[in-house]
Amino acid sequence: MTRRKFLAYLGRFAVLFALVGQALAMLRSIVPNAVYEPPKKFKIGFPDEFSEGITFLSKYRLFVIREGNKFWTISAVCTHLGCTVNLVTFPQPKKVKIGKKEFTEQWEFHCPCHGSKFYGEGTPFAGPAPRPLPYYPLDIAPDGQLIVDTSREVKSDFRLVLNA
Amino acid sequence: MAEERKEQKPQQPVKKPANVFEDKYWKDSLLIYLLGFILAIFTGIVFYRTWFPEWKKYQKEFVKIAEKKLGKEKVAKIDLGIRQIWNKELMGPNVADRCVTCHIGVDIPGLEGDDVPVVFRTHPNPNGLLDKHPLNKFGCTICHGGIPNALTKKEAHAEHGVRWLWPTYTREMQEHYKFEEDRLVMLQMNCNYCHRFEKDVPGMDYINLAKDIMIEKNCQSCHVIDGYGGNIGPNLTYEGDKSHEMFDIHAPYYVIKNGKPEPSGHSIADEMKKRGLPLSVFSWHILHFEEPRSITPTSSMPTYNFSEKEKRALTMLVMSWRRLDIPSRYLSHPEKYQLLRLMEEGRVKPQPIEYISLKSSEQAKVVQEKEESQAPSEETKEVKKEDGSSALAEKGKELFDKRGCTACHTVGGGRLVGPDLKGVTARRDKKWILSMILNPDSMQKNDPVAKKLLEEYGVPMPNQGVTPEEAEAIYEFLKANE
Amino acid sequence: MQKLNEWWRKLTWTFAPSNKVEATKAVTKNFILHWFPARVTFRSMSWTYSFWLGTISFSLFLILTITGIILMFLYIPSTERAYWTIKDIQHVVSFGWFLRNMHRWAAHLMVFFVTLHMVRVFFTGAFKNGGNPDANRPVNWAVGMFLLVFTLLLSYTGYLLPWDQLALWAITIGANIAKSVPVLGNTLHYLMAGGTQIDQNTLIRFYTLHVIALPALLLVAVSYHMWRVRRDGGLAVSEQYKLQAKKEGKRLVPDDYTTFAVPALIRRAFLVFLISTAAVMLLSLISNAPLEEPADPSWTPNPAKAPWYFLWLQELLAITTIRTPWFTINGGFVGGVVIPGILFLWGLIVPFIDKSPDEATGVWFHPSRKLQNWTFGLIMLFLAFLTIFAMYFRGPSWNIYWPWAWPPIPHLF
Repeated sequence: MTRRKFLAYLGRFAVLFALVGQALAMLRSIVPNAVYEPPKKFKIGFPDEFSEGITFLSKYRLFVIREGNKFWTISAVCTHLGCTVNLVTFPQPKKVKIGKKEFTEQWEFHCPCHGSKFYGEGTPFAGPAPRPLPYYPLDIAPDGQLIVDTSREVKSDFRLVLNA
Repeated sequence: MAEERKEQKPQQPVKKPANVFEDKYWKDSLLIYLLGFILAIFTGIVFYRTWFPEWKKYQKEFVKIAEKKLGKEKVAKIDLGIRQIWNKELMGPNVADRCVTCHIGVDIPGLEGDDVPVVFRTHPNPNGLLDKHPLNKFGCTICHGGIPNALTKKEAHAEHGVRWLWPTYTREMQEHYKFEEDRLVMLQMNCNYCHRFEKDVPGMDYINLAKDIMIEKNCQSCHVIDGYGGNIGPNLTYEGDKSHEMFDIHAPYYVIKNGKPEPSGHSIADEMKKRGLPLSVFSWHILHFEEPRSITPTSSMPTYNFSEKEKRALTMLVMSWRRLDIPSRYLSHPEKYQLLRLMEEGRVKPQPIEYISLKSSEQAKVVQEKEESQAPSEETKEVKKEDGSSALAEKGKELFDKRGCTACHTVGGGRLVGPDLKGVTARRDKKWILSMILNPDSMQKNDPVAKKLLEEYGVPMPNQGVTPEEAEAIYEFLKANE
Repeated sequence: MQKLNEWWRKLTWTFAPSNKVEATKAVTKNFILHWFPARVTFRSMSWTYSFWLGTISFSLFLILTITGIILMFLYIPSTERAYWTIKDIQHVVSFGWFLRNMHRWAAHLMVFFVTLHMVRVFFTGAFKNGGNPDANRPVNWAVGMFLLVFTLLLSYTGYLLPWDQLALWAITIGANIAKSVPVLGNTLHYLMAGGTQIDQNTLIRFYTLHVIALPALLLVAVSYHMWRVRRDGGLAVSEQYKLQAKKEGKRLVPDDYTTFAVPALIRRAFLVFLISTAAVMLLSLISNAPLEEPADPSWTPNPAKAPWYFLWLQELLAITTIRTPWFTINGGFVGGVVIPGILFLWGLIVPFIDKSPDEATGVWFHPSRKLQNWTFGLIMLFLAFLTIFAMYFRGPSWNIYWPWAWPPIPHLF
């Protein structure tokens, strides 16, 4: 290794470093760090406003279910490829078997895009949807409204129980 | 090239035959010329379509008719070409109403009358409507529906086949829905976008009728409307925004036999077809108002036996309830829209929003006075005649209406959703009645009589949030009407 | 007058050479013509050999670029304004309707013709070298596969721009296909969408891809693709002359099997361009580019169908969810990534695994390639079947109906 060779290698490396570095910088710049989006946690109204049974909040693509003083939410976004599922209600409750358990449902969710169908508690039974519809945690905000957190999922047995 | 010429000149006599090449594909040139002709014709058609669009025909027609009625001088002053009304804050950037390109006569007086085709007629001005809603401010589609920006009749009116949710309301559409009117009434739905919290508005007779029914039948006792109400039925505050996807018209249609819903054997869509109604959400609501259990057999909504007009009026009201971004300057009573927003955001507790009546101010005053005080009125006098007792019973009657009891109970009018309460104070003791009024949920769970009634009537009695004082008043009213 | 003629001659002699010397020099003295070789074989000029599908594809690309640039003056990539600028293009802009229709039809036709071109090249074994030691046509075939993908991507990013219901839901589904990829899925989705939601950030990304990034990539790849054809000695069918001569022990004389590219080749290429333009114009005159309702995330149209060239993919996505007692794999991944990925990779290596003799180069359905042709043909037919099935037999909720028996979806009014 002579000084000349060393300097030559150093110089070439510097050029490479500069070019590659700048190229990487340009690619990194198009990965957003801040986005203009509504928050993942939001209020959906007072418990009293919700009728018994299931309500569709089209703005949030969310179903809110009320059973007496128990509340829970199911996402209306199909787990196959993200279309908004349609609510199908039954005049008479339907008895279905999910795994080993029996379940009585008053509604189902059918997706218009590729025919996925979900039982009333979210399990897919027809079509290409791979996973059940996710449940999001519900809580009571300080002002008394129901507040949903769509940034995390909870199990399908989640219930927000209100007293009185 | 120059050297070529130099080379060629002396060699020309020898090289000429070998230098010339045979053009084997000379026919291609002919095909090119043929295609040239075809393309020229196509280009001609393109230019024709662009220079003679549909709207120019309308304008030519207009000039002919208008000149006859108004004279050449006046018509010459009218600007032709593409005409539009643009109000950025109301319509948005890049959106303008171009209806006036064909509907040129709308703001020109003198073109009324049956001898002028509807499209060219002066816009009617009932009750000073246009003065209060100047065309150049409001445009057209905010009231009439249709696609702004469009310049063909089919698209501007969003006729069937065009993918747009809010078509122009036409007499043809009203005929399809079997309205018994000659004038355009369906567009009253759009009036309600800004006049939602008013009633008795001149020009909105169908909506006014529907609001009166809504108040009389106290729909809010079971439905959240305008952000407040009961939760037996769904929230109707923005019913007009519900997508057509949410209405399954292929579900079975039920008929009521012996008071019970039974499957008819055909679907809701078939029923619509049978009646000659369009397959639409509008028709769905008409059928639902007629008989809720024909659509949802387990519904606890009473059958009100509305007339054809009332069904359509209520459908119009319900579909007019939409969440729109109309600037507050255009809203009638923007503070009430603000209140609704505040309720939705939870900054204000849910409360009923009162509709302001636009009846003449004197009458309005009377209505207010009547509600504020318990001043003697005809009805109070009647009650006094019967048993001479309390202003409390009078208050109770008011509450019987206000607190939503009339939605399910009559007093001497027969069974409704719940039992007829005539003589109830003789059948049950005061404590029981007060408990039912104040704690229906716990009563229906624990009290054997209440449980039996629940089983018999099938519909749970909701807790209407009545205070103990109010319950007393209601009891007095019931007692007074034995 | 004489002066005018001279001046005109000076300007245009390269396009219309008057003798052999001029014909030979023409391609070297003209910028536009420097693409072309000096001579071209008779067989490669044949209509029924190549059907000039490659030229048609390029002509369509040219039409798309020109109409596209003009449309860029008229369209605004904002979620608030995009839809309405399209409405204006249709109704208010002079010839706007025509521009948009041309652009839309050329796009559909380009996807169709590049596919046809690929099928032609396969069935004629034109990705083979035919004994030419200097050629490497399999490389050009691979470049062609990438060109197909670029074409499809250009189409995809294009129909997202009007920001109508078709656009919104197509992006939602496409981004979710990306999300279904294990490990990288969420990052891919985040990059595609420019965030976690499909919104303005997404629109501008697809706009940029559509108007400059993908066209630039495509242009570079097309240039290389066409240069390679020349570099490999012309269309593969030209190798047949040498093979035949070798067999018959004859010597090849240029005049026997070639002619000057100017005017023969360039004139026919221009003719093909005119025919392509005429076809696109005719379609633009009789059928308008569609536009659905403005984008609305609160409801999904029923049925929500991709354009015809993605229907096979949509059908696959819907039927390839794998369910086992231990795990489930989303059909979006299997049908949307794995199967197309396998098809693409197989497509890339096809020429390298084709062991047919040189004689099969540039010959339609050569008997020595029966297996390859049948395999390829059946796969293409299967994809075509999926397309037709999804188009006519899948109705609302993706249920199967007879094409005439789709249950009606209600309107609002």
